[in-house]
Amino acid sequence: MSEADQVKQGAAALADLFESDYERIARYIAVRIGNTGHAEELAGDVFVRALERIDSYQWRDVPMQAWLFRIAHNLVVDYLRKNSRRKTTTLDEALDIASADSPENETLLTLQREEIMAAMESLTPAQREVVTLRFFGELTSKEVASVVNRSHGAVRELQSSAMKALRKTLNAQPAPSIEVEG
Amino acid sequence: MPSLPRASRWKDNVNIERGKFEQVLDACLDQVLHKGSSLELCLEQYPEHAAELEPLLRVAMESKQQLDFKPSLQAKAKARTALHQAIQDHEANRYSSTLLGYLRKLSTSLSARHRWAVSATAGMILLAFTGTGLVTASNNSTPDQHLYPVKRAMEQTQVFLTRDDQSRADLYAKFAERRLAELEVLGARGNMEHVSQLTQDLDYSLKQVRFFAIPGVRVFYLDEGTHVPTEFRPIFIHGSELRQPPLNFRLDPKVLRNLERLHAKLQRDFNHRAPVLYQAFQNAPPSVQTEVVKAQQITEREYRGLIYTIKLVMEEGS
Repeated sequence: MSEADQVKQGAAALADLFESDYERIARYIAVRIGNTGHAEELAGDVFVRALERIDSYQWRDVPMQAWLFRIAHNLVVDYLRKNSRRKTTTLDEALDIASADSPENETLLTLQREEIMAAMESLTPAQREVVTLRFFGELTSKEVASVVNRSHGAVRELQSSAMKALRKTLNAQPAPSIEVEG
Repeated sequence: MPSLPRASRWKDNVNIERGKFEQVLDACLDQVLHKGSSLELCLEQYPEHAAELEPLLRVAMESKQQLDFKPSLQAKAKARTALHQAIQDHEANRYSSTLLGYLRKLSTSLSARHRWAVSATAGMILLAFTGTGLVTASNNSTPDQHLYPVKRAMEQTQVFLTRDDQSRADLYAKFAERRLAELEVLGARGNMEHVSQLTQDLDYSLKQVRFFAIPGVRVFYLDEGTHVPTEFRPIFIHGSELRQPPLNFRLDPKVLRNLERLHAKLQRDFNHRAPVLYQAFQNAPPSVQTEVVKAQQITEREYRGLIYTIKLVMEEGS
């Protein structure tokens, strides 16, 4: 196959992956940066960035999906570096708070989300990356290994230690409660 | 062979046990987070690890549930539009590195009168080749033959010389039929080496038909995947606006007639070619079964989806 055909094929594959993977990439980015609106935009940028570099992709020995998540990771790092001083956590705004059946429950849900986000922040960068790709990017541990360029066993170890750390942090915090007047 | 010291053996056993637990945890996470299985079912499968597994899996499920979010359809539509625009730009830039590409780029930057001159030059390039027996001989060639690149190069030239969207849609429909015919010939010969590439080219041609057939409107299927869908639910994107039928628009009678013609051609090609192709595929050796099944799936999905969508657009716009 000629180089031109490979590029054409790569662009077609990207268009197909967009349909199946846009949501997963947006979810992964949202949890990493804590802002759903920006996550939606960045998820779109991932595919455009991939297209710009499609010529170089042909030489890489990773599945295209893993490559997209690597690009997403790099965009997240850039975003966090640029926004470190004014980082906002607006994840709650777009989450399904409407499912809460009362204002008390809504507040409770918000508190729980804040706790989980804080617990995620307390993980090491490698643990956080693995857990976010696994839970929100919906990748298998083998796929995560391709993204973070570690062995499958190392990813499982990081995943296990991350979950134990999450549990410890969340258990150490008092359970959120709302006092209802009257 | 000297036996390992007791402490070292104990450490190894601990590592093996820990590795085993991590594998079990990994398998359970797949089940409860991605496959919708229940936590209880997973604990039943691994009773020896249940006590340690349960709190970790609960943390995972809770975190996923609390922080999950679904991007809006509008955001996805906007990102999709940007990606497809970028693909077109990318294609145009790449094309500009060829002689014909250069002429095409030049023609878009010139006045109408000069544009004719450039088109005429490109036409002469085409005629210089079409006048020879080489091109005629290449017409029926297949990818396993030396003249095939000539056939494909001529197709590219035809696309270059075709200016309006509807004619391009017709052209790509013709190329799609050619790819079907080539697949058929290769299948009959038992030569499956190029099936995968031809399938991708068929897929590309049909996507181009879809793109050019309905100017200004892009169509995507909600259930587009690797399987053969039994039902199509296309969504329509006009600019950055996302719509589902009823679309409330009226097609120009000329566009409508063209679409009717295109629809009839695609239906005819699919009805005539596909059964013969599948028959030819039945003789494929087991080593290429995956490629053959994929070729059949893509043919079904893209042809049926396209035929269905064009019909829907005609019904809505008439």
